[in-house]
Amino acid sequence: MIALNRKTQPGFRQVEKIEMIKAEKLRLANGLPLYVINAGTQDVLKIDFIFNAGSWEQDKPLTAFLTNLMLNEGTKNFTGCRIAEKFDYYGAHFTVNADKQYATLTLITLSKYLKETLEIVEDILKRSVFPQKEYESVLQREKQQFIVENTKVNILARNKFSQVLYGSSHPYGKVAILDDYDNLPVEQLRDFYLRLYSGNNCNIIIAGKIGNDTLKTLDRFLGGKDWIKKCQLNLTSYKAKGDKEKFYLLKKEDAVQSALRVGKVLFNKLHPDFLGMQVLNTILGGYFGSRLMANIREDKGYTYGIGSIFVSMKNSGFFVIVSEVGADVSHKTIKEIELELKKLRNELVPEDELKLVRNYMLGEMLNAFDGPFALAEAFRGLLDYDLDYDFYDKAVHTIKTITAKELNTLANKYLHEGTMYKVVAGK
Amino acid sequence: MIKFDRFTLKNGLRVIVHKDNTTPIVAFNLLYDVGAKDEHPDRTGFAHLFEHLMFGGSVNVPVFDKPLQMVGGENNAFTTNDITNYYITLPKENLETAFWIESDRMLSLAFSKKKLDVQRNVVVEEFKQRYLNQPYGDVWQLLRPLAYKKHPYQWSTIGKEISHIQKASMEDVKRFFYNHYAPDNAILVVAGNITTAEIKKLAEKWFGPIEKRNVKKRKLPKEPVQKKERKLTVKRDVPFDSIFKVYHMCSRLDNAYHATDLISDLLSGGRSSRLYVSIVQEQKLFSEIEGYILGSNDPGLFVISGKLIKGVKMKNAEAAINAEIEKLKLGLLKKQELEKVKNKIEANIVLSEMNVMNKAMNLAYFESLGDADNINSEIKKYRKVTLKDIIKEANKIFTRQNCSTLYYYAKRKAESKKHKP
Repeated sequence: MIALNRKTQPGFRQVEKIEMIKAEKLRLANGLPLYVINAGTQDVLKIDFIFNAGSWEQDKPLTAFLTNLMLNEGTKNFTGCRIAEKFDYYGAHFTVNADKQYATLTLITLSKYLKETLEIVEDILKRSVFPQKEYESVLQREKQQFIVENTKVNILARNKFSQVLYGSSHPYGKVAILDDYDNLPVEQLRDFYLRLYSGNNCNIIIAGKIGNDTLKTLDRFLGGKDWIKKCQLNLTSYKAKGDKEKFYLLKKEDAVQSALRVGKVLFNKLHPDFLGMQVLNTILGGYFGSRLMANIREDKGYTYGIGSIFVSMKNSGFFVIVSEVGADVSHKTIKEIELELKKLRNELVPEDELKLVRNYMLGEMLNAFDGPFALAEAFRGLLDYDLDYDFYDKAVHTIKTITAKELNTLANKYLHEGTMYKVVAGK
Repeated sequence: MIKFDRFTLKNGLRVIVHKDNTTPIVAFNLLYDVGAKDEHPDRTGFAHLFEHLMFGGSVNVPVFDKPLQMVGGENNAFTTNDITNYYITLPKENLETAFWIESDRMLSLAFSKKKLDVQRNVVVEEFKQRYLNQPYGDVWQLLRPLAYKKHPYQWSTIGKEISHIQKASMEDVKRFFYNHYAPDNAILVVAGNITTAEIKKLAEKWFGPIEKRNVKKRKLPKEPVQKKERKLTVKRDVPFDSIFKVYHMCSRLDNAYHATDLISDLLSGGRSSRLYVSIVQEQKLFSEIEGYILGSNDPGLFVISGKLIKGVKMKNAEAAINAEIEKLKLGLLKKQELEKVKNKIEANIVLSEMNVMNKAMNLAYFESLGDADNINSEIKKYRKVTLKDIIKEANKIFTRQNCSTLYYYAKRKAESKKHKP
């Protein structure tokens, strides 16, 4: 018997091909597009309704957020209580979310209860009534939540960071304050709803085990002409107006940790350098073995976690490093971050590190297309930007072939430490 | 229904194999039957600190994460009061790397003094981030010792205090390793597009040579029955008053567990639950309310907690919670209510089986409780619960003397200024 060799890593292969089930574009009886991902083994369905109804579309802060939140507080045929009861009875999950650009409603249900749950969703989509009484309690609760959230250094840093990056007149830079809750009569939410929550302004993605019946049921509830109407969208183009000052300290005397944000406005997925920057970002702070983690957590022990992320939105994108560090080492951490950025500009990424990151990212992509829910999310990442699946082929190609030299060029072009905004909340 | 094969190596390592041919990814889950409850009362936070150190390098693998990232894999771990669980996902073709690194760190650890120093700091920062620097972050540091007087559940996984972590020495760490990390104290689950034969071969090859360490059976003090209600009042620099009520309940393996879990859903599972509808929506006493159970291996806790609406008196808020509990004890349920919470649980179990890592983790956990096969009878056990069971358990749990209450008051402005350093 050959002795076991524990010193050497067993043989392995780079992920070669990433198989994915693609979304098929069908149409409902009323002509609305429906994106179908037929995948998975469990009798479960997930349906996303995506509206251009994020804060981009609002005149006053919180309009998009509160409209979205109020959708299931009462409809023409069901009270808020009844809606909650029905979803719970069928074991369905119905969630709403509004971000800077989109409002998304998501239904996850056992296939056998699609009819029962979709009946409620239909009423929410078409006939939400925004009752005053419920609105008052929602406001009261949300205000309290807002106050609690704003005692957290992490939230303080996040809000300030968006503000200094984009400026307060940009929809991506405007941050709500407590008083905003008191200046938003429910009628304004209803108007926002009537203006934007319409079939024409909605993309629908359905994922799971899809049968013939599934599509028939969708048509029955969503295929009518009764929610088709033209929408006036906000077509203004805004310019990010970053502050002159690059460094901000939000003092919180009793903080034992400071929250940090270091970053700048860059671009979104549509930019030719986006994929290369994803690789560069991964090296710097995009995975557990990243340089920031290796230095600031695993070598210095300043933090429980640090990472960087390249955020893509419909009309812009930004790069940010995020961490919470011991209050006594905030400034030391920023120094180290600057050193890491400098290193990316001044030295080529060693081949073995680059190989590791390539392999890691390919493995991650395998995960990103595993199962119907993941497939739906991956497809949404294309749909929001009118991209095709070849975007992912390009991503694989970039991950496999980008050179250390090219990464170095990107670092010099985009990640100069002197161009970064720095926000510290704490000490 | 999750099908699986099961075998045990000579050194006592239990192995479970689940085939799922719909995914290119393999989940590799290694559970050690050691948790915060196995710590010495003066050295708490150890199991969790140790989990961090397990990534610091083993005898033949100097950096744990690198070889895994090199093959496109990812891993993490968590520690609870009962178990420590390490998990990996990676492309199927590269599965053997998971066997290589996980078996090596079971074989022997080899981290430096510097690693220990750094991870102590990292855990201290985790302590700050999660418990000290968050509003209401210290609640469990207060509740556990209030509810448990003898049983080691009286401290949380992060530990009683930062100084315990700071004092951890190299010897402590080594002792902990050989006492608890052993093939005869572990369960391995591999799930993905694999065969049992292939896993058997790999398990024999990599884990087979590790010696059995004859891990001692734990003898934990039993928590005596609580005879008197307990109360604790604190004031903190937070925006709103809160209340936390905890009641002793049965263990995860008890026959009453499923009824107890359903009670928590009746009270607080979703927006149609009793506490939410009555106290948040109708009476407007709370901005948020939660009811849930700590389904721990030894007898756990039933928790009800909420944040009060500004201006609401603590006394009234507590009375409203108690009134809802009394209704439940009398069995005043609507016709479909019990059916509703059972449906919900069934749907959640179906959803949890969509993901291969989830399945592997759950199999390991059920095996650690005694038999992985029990995973497939869960739905049946929930379905069997009757209204009578609910009434019986509710009356057992919700008594005054079984309750510990934490009144967590917001300091008024003037007070908080005075106390600032």
